[in-house]
Amino acid sequence: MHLTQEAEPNAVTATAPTEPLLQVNGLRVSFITRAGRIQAINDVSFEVSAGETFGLVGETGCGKSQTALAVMRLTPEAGIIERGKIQFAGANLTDNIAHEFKIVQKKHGRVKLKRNKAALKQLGQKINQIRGKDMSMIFQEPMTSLNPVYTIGRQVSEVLLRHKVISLVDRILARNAATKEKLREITNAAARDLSQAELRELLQQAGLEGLEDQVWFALSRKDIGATQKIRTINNLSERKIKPITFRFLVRLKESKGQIPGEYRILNKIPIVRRWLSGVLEKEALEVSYELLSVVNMPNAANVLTSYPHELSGGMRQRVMIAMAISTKPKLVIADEPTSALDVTVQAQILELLRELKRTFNSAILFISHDIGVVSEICDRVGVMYAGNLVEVARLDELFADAKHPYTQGLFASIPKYGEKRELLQTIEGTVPNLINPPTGCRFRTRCTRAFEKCSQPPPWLEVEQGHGVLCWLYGDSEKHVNQ
Amino acid sequence: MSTSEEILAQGKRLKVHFPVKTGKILAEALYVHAVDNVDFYIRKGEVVGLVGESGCGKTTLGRLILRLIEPTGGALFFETDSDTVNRYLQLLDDLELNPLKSNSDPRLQEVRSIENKHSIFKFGRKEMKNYRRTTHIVFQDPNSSLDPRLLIKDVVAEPLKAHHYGSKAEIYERAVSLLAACGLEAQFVNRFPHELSGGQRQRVAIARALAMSPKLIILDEPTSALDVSVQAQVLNLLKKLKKEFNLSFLFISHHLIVVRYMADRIMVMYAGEVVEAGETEEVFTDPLHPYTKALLSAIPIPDAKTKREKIILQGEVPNLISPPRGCRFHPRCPHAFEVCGWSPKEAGEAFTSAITSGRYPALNNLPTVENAVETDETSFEVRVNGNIGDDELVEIRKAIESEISEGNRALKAVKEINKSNDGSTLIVKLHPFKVPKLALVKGEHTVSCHLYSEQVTQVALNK
Repeated sequence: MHLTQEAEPNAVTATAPTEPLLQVNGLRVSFITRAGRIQAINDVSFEVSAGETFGLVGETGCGKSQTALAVMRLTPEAGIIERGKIQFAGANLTDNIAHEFKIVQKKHGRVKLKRNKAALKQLGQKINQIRGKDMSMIFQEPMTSLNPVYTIGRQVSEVLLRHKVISLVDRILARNAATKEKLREITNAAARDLSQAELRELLQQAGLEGLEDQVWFALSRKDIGATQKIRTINNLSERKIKPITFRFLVRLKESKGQIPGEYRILNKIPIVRRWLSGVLEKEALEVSYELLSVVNMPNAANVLTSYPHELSGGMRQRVMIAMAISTKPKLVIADEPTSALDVTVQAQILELLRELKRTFNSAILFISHDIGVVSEICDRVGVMYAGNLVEVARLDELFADAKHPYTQGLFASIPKYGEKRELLQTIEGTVPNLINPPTGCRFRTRCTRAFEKCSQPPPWLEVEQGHGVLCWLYGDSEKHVNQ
Repeated sequence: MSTSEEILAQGKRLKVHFPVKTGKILAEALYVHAVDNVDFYIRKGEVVGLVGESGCGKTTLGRLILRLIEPTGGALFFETDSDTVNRYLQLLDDLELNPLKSNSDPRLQEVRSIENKHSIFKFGRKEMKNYRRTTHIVFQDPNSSLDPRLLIKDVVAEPLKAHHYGSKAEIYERAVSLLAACGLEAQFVNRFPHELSGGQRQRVAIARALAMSPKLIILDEPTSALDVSVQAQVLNLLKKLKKEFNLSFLFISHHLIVVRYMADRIMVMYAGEVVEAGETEEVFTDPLHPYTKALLSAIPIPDAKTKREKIILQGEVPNLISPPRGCRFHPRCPHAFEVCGWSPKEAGEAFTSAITSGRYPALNNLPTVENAVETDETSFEVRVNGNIGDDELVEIRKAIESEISEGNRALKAVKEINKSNDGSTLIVKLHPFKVPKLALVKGEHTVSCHLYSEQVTQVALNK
């Protein structure tokens, strides 16, 4: 299929060793408010490789969500990316940040933010090709991120109609080209267990690449028996389109998903427009149904016509996940995807994310305040405190040998499962105000091991391969000062 | 149950049903069965954890104990002498075994008189005011449970004023000392709630709860809105205060690791009922109810090495307007069997989808079937657009049997399959079902599940 190529495991692993999928370098995000400039993210650098799950943990207000939003270039109105570089899949998302805003000094030391509309429009055009397609997001509260007045089917289709027009056209055309004989060959082959790669090859030989998702979906259904699966696949060839539709779709594909020139005037007539887009909308709904089934939505067909308020929290989160994976993105950013859910539902959703990672080989940037959840799903973890990334390590290493005093304190303050202690260890004090954060290490006001040097900005130190910490306590500090 | 003299509060057959407004005048009255037949007890100086998923009725139960919600049924005793309570329980058991013959039955009269005299739910205004000195609550979200227009010291002084604690000077002196006990120094007392952090606000809420030196405090998710490092501070504070003031807690939370850390005993609720209760360590190390097992296995443990087998539950929490009959957990239970309460609707859907699934080649030539229709509580019919022969009936029986052996639980309830004389209808009879009751397993560990009542299981299997 046209766009699935990018998500192929082979293609991804081939590029993996050379360059990480997402690279964030020296990111600094500030918010300009009346009270002053809030330094929400201060020099954050990390990498996410293809197919990896990278976790960001930290307490409220530590900047983990803002990091994710900055990566998506969705920083809220008052916020600006002051400096830093975000490189995603070869594209530089921050090449023009110097021109995007201007800080105007006003009377009485007040500052005001002025945005450059032209630069932002340019950014919008660029980012819209990536956001939602190669990079998608699952939000914490699905009730507020789903539109209450549209049906689920329409909302899931919207993503497809925006980003996957060509693959929708491919699906219809391939079905149109399929003959009973060709499909019989495939169903015969499917009688012995096929892998998805084998199926793809088989369909390529028959010249029916666009059928892959439909056939694979029918084969992987659990609710019907073998006979019905074969019947469903054979029935695909019976769904033909009219020649007039066929001509339109071929032209649409040739013009790469844009409305072709000769249809532009026709497209202005409402009834024709409804017919032209209706063909694709119907197909998008069908893909939505398949996606909802992939995320184990109970009663997926009915859910398509439901509104968000009719679903439970777990089901809404499944819809969000279906939307996020609909374009087979390279990176899924999950911002506290299970925090609003109960433990049993949380277990379902985490299992689903793990399964989807296996099938689509997407990288996940997983944000959570719950260290338990992070330890369930992540390969590598970054710990954030007051806008700084204070420690990054492989999951097992972080648990076995946390270096930063904050990480250690954080772990000690969670009750251990099955361990009865009289009192829990706590971190004294509260998170500092980020308008005037402490100079040097931002944790030093609460740190039990702070010493004189901590009033200077701490160095980023690789204590071991892949285990970095932002602290003065480790290594030969002199050397790092000179760097 | 151990000696009841040390028991502080005890609830029996507590029920809360909320009416649902449908907007239709003559519609049948519908109720959300938020709490159904719940028994509980809390000893002096004990921390009882109440766990369960959202919507299982744990908050409703907590508020019911304070009588912030009026009950639909049941009785609640607080510091009532053990003889009276035991007599009451005895009478209830007796009434259950030998049902009432008339309304003038002396046993019923005695039950009524005990309830009227001792149950919190029958208290009048004055008695309630006295009762409210002895219990208090700490809510989940300190942002919304503190009045934004009151100073911190006024927030704590309010209950003292309401109960005429003493002169103004005395009241404020106590308020300040309570705040100090909760870790808020004198510099905070003249601030407004919005000037404090989440953890500090929760300390204020706790200080307020302590104001009238209560004996029982309901903690309704006291740390859910807080960060882990602050949560540790609040939990430590609660432990300290419990010792200092000899308090009892009902600790309501969905955060199981915290409950295990805090509670002496826990109760697990599911869909308005208590499914398991017992000493915390025993329930956590040896959970019996399938729901408890799934719930505990789902806890994300903050440890990279411990990776446990997870029991992933299928489906969703049931609708409590018409909760599943029998055991309310049976539609999601991986162990559900004959007597767990499969309804003709559930079994009927499983039946029709099984025989039309195409998994059984012998059934491929079966005429099309319509949806199952419930005929009575334990049977349903399936109309067939054609005729069913004797051979086909045998094949259907075989198919259903192999479905059951493959783990289709709803079909376990099928007792026998017959066809009508003209062969146009399949008549399916189901096993009768039973409602599980909380039964003692060992020590204080009680569980409400058929798997642990030998008799019922045996009867079901012998059929």
